[in-house]
Amino acid sequence: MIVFELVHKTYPKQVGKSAAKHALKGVSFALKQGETLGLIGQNGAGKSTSIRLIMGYMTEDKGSVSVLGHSDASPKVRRRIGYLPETSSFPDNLTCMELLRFAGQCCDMKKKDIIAQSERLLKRLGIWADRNRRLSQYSKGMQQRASFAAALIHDPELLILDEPMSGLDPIGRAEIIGLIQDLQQQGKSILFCSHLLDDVERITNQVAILHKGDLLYNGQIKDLCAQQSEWDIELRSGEVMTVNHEDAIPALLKKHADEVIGVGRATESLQDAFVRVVEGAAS
Amino acid sequence: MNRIFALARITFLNGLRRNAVWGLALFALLFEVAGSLFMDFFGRDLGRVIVDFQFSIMWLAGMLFILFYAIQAIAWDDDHKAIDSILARPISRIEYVLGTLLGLFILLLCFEGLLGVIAYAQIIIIKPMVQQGYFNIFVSSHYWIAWFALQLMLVALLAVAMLISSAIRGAFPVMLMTLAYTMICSGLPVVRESLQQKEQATTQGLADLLQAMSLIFPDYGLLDLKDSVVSEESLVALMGTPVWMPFSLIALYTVVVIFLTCLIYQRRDIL
Repeated sequence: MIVFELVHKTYPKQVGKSAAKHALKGVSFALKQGETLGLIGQNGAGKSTSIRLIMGYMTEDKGSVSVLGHSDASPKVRRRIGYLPETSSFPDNLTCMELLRFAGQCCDMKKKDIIAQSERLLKRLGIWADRNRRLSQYSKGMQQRASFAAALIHDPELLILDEPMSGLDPIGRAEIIGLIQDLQQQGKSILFCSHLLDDVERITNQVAILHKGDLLYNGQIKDLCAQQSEWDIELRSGEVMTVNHEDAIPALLKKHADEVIGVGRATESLQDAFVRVVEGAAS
Repeated sequence: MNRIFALARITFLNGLRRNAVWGLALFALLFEVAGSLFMDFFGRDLGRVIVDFQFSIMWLAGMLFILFYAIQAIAWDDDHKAIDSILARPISRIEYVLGTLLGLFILLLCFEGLLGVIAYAQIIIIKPMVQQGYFNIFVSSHYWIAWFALQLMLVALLAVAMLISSAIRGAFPVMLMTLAYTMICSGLPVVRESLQQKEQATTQGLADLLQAMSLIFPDYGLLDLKDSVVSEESLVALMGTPVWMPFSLIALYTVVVIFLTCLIYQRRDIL
């Protein structure tokens, strides 16, 4: 679905402002059909640049970017993409329904299909009751949901989500994660950026770590997170007991026989692994 | 076309709901109406004074709309990344330029149409109230041709503002550049005329340069037909050229400007 091959991108020097910035330094990664890839990194790592290259907002200096088998994200290709920008910014005097009508019309959808799809999505996202209010009166979280609905209205096969959980409260986050998981089950390919690594772990098992324009890691989360010497015993209640020595496990299993649902080597969290990889690159 | 109209529709609706646009319309209408209260100060040629005043208000209101609303609206897309959300749809950059321009133009046309109708109604009401000697000629067809010519000028300026904003970021620099462009356009014919009066061989090169510059900075005064509204002379006699010529030239100029804008938008990185 998306193939990045040795992509370089430099932002030119701006008069009176910053110096030229090498935003991507030979980055390669791929997203296959039906997969979900989390693009993670600090601010200025090159995540947004990667997404802008995929969307065709800018062109690469060297290397190649292929999206859905095409080398440029022409309008024809974008018809198959649902894009949620980091900042949901639409002309703010429009209502949510007008926004969705615009998004549907651009994809040549019929009016009745736009209305049916809008109703389904807005009810799913919990803003159906506010559909005729102006976007300027929406909270940031509601604007994010409206933008999400606009990205999904034409039932795209590839989703590009830039910070989809940005501005959402915990319940909103859980709803969006649920929606993304539904989309995964429908076989959609998803590329997303997020700073919230807990959410990344819940959504995908595959990540690419960018740092100052370099790709530091691209692969499975389980291969990234190093195994620890400790063991984790997971209980039915959700509690996890950590033991330092293997010898202590049988006694604990015996004691909590009815509650234990799993035993395994403790692994590093994605957060810790990310910090380790980035600090390793910095040193 | 479907996508151009869809974008034009949201641009129009968004503008229609802006308080700033309504405020501008209200002030322009107030000035139009208030102008008629001062007509007693002018003893002679009252018809010309009223028509001049009304057309000046329409021109000024159109310019304010372009400088303080249209340019802000175009730059807002860039500054607030709304362009990201719009171009995430299957809209080409050319469709973006055309859709945005069309939406702003329809809004401007509604705005100017309202002012034009109110001004026309006022003139029709005032004319019988004034003695024949002070306001004896009013040609309705010329009034609407002059109004149309004014709209053509404003569309050309709107296209120029869009061209400048395709190359420069930020509403304020675009506004300054558009203002500078307008001033050069209105100043250039004056300079050329004063140079023609000198009739010196040394000024020939400069005259040629100014002539060439008028390709970039056209003389919008050619479309200033408000004098024809209170004149019995035909438009051809007043303009000194066939009527279609200045209209076609400015229309062609506008098409070239829009083409260049599309070309720049097509090639630029959207940061």
